[in-house]
Amino acid sequence: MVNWWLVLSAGLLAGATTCAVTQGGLLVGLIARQRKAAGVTAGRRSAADDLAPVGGFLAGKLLSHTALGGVLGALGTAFGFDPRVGAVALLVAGALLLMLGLGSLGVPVLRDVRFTPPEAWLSVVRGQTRSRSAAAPFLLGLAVLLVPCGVTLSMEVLAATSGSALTGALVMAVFVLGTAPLFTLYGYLSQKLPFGRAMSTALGALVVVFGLITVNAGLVAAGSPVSLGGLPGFGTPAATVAAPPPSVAPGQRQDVRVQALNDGYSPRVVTASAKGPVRLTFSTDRVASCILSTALPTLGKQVILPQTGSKTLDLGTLAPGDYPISCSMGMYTATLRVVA
Amino acid sequence: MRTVTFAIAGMHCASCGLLIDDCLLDVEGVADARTNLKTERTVVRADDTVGDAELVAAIAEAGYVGTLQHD
Repeated sequence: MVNWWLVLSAGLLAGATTCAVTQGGLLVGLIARQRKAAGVTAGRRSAADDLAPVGGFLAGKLLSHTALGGVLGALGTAFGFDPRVGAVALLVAGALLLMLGLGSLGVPVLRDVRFTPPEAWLSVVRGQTRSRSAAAPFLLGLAVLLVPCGVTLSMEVLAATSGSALTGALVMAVFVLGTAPLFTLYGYLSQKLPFGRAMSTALGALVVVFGLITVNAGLVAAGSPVSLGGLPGFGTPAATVAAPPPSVAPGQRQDVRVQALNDGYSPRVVTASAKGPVRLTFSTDRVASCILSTALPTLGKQVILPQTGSKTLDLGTLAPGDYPISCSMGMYTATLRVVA
Repeated sequence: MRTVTFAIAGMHCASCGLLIDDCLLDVEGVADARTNLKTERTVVRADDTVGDAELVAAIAEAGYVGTLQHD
């Protein structure tokens, strides 16, 4: 149900863009003021002195965001979950990323859709940035939950639709851990990053690309006929043309088999007849990718595959047409083609 | 004590505003700084001795462009 690489990539992206520049700036300012107040000079600092506040900040951020992910996952589960919700979540998350990226590129029309926290929330964060307490980096890490950027909001959407409190908590935990490497480097350097307009534009473009990938994943997961797979250079290669449909007597059950590999389905197009019920079996052999969560979104069917083994779906008798098969995040696709 | 307003370009989330306020408050003589993400404005209360250029430089240090508003 969750593409952990997408979540981790979002964390790395946020670490490289919004988080590092803004929250990292707040953290570095806090550390610098505290050192100045304590009379600590650069020559007297060890690596541990540099990294301890960053560790405290990340621990606080990990704690608050993981807890929120758990709550969002539980709330989402209470409202019910099916594969189509996951597709909508991806579309919303992708839209949030696109808005953030385009906003960074200076597109003015998107100004009004940014999330503006209430002043009381801002005051909580502001209070921690000026604190002299040794616990301030940790408390700041807890508090930045109140000022989410677009990337964070998009991950919160995924957490809310992840299917369980535990998965929701893990989504946010993996995301925050993804931001850790750049935060650590940032804290070690102990200075605000040079962030010129050109850099901002380049990173904005990166967020836009990531948003498009996420929207595409949502479109594929929703079974949309419009996606990147329909463009030249994407999608099913010519070599994977469907085999002719089997000869089936009316009412006769058909067994259709698809191999789920680490990097896609084989074959990419399978055929069945509309004359009888279809049993679709997915087989795996030491697979570890998001393909283990496979869905037929237009039929509202989803299956979690074992790393090695097989799972069968009874689809009943289907009307002629193409039925998309995809991993829940829409990265890998195949088609079940039913002919009259 | 005087109050000045700056239009800010380049913000994308509430943390941006907090970072701008943080950098402004580090300027000696600045008593208060409040950035509003929705209006894209920062209102600064500072001693008369603090120049506009100093405030613009602090906003630039945060990574944003501040333009003095005469309203």
